[in-house]
Amino acid sequence: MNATRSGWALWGDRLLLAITVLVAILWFLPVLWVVTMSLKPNSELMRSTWGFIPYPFTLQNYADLVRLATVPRWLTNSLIVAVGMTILVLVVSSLAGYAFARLQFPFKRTIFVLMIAGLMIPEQAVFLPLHQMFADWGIHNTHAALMLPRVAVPIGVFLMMQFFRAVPRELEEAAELDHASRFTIFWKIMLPLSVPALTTLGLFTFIHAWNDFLWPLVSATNANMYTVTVGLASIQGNFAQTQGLGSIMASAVFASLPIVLLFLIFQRFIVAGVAMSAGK
Amino acid sequence: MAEVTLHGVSKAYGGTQVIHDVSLEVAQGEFVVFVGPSGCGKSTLLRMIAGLEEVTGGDVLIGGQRVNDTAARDRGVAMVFQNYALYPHMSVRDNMAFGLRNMGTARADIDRRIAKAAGILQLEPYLDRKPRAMSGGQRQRVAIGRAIVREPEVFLFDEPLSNLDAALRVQMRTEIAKLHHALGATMIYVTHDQTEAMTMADRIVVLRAGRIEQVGAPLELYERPANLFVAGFLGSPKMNFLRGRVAVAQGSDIGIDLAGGVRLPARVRPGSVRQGDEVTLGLRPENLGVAPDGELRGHVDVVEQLGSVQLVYATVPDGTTVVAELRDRRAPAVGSEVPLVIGPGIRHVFDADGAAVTLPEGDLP
Repeated sequence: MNATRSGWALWGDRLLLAITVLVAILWFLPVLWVVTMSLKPNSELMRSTWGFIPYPFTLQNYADLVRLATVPRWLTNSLIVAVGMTILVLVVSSLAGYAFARLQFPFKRTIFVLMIAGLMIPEQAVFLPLHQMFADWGIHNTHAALMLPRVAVPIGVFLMMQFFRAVPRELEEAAELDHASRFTIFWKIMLPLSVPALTTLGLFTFIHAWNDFLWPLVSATNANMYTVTVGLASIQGNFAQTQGLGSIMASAVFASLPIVLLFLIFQRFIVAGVAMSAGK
Repeated sequence: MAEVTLHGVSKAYGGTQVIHDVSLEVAQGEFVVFVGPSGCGKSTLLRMIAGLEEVTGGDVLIGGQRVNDTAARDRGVAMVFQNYALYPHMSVRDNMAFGLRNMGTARADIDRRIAKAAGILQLEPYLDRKPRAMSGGQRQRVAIGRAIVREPEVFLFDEPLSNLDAALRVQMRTEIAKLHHALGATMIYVTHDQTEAMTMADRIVVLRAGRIEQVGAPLELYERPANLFVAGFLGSPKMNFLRGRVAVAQGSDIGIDLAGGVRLPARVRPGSVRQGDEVTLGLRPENLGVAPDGELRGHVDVVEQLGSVQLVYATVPDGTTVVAELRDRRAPAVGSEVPLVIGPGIRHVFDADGAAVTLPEGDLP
């Protein structure tokens, strides 16, 4: 009986593995296709876009891209915005998360509900008033304008709140008896303990900021203030007809490289983060 | 070192009263143990002394000063928590130094105090380790070390040994007792384990449902429990209780009729019970034996062999299970009927309300 059951379980595992591999291949093929096309000359692509082997091989598409004077500028913008936004999100989310998790203050529940309600409002719904407000302040085409609308992230606050709630209260009580002020407790006990949660939130924020397209598109009208996503899209719009598919594909690969690298380096935290947000 | 005084202390969460008008004096250098079942309010009371719970009514005094409104950190107390509450990201040294640094203690002084505490607790080899790389016993020692370096007026222990295994618990129990001897500090210790209370305390405070049932030295409570609850809570195996009725009462001498037509003599405070009153007779297991002339008949259900003693669980005629602690190695067979004899120890008598009415010199002549 047991042997039969374990036999079934073994076949079940194999089937699951086969499906997983199939899905992984299906997901990976378009990526491979894009990379292959980015490494082929446009003349070849005019003839046929088929094939997963970059032959004839060329790096010309990438060389053309890097030669564009504005690309380093766009990369810098993306880096400033993504790093700045990440830092600000971490500061706001950890402070607010801690406050919701452990402090008592008037209207705490109301404020919390309002914050969570923020999750339900699609960002496009507030684009117009947001754009108008930033225009009134005269800060469009600045890094601040690209960062500020994304600094208060309800899901980040929620994630940090959940994390802080899980920290045993005795730790704070021990620190309290150890003459620590509320801020010392936050700074020297809670924050160091929340490094895994902060890393996860930071990574997701960075990836989101780097990939962000719509707001930078409407806020940054000056080509010098484009982020790399907006900038590369603008090349595609302007040059696609003349430069061909190879350039478009090279720009797509180029724009996603930092995120791929980030994922490879921090995949442990990202997977843990997904599990954390799913499990809680 | 300081004394701790509670004056009519009470605590309520919303409309639920959990501590009722508790008054207690803990002398300088005394080791007092709060003991009671889960939910009796012992930890809450300790946390109120620590300043981690607000006091709803009454006063808490430490060193003669009212501290109801004083922040926990300014009360001069150090606390050891059940789950150790060590800062996981800090080394043992930093765990101990954290409080002193916050207090602005000079570095040399911090180092000296840590070295001294580590010496007492044999923690020198582990000072640079993180808590996660240590065993439960070592962690608890670090938690105690963190309290020692603060040189507090009062040490508070909240079930510090509950997370340890049995062998380590016994070892740490001895170490804490030694520590108290070495430091001579005032210590208040919370536990639900009556053995810890009996072995460590100068005085035990037995709590039930937020009220003090009895306060006294361990042996005093063991031999003179004030009521059925204290009698049943202290001692392992617990005291045997047999229900009966007062058949004769002459001064302090009474005769109690038990089920099965057995009449047992006992001594009570004169006038505390009258003929016909229902009473409960309490007999410690070591005061119950097996002998041919035994007054009580018992049906042996289980025999537990503990090496030095054996515990015989037997059912007596009224259906109650009693336990006898025998020193000789000839155990009665399970399923047999044995005569149970009551030894020369105290026969505790409790009235219908459960209050002890045993005569202070209650031994039978």
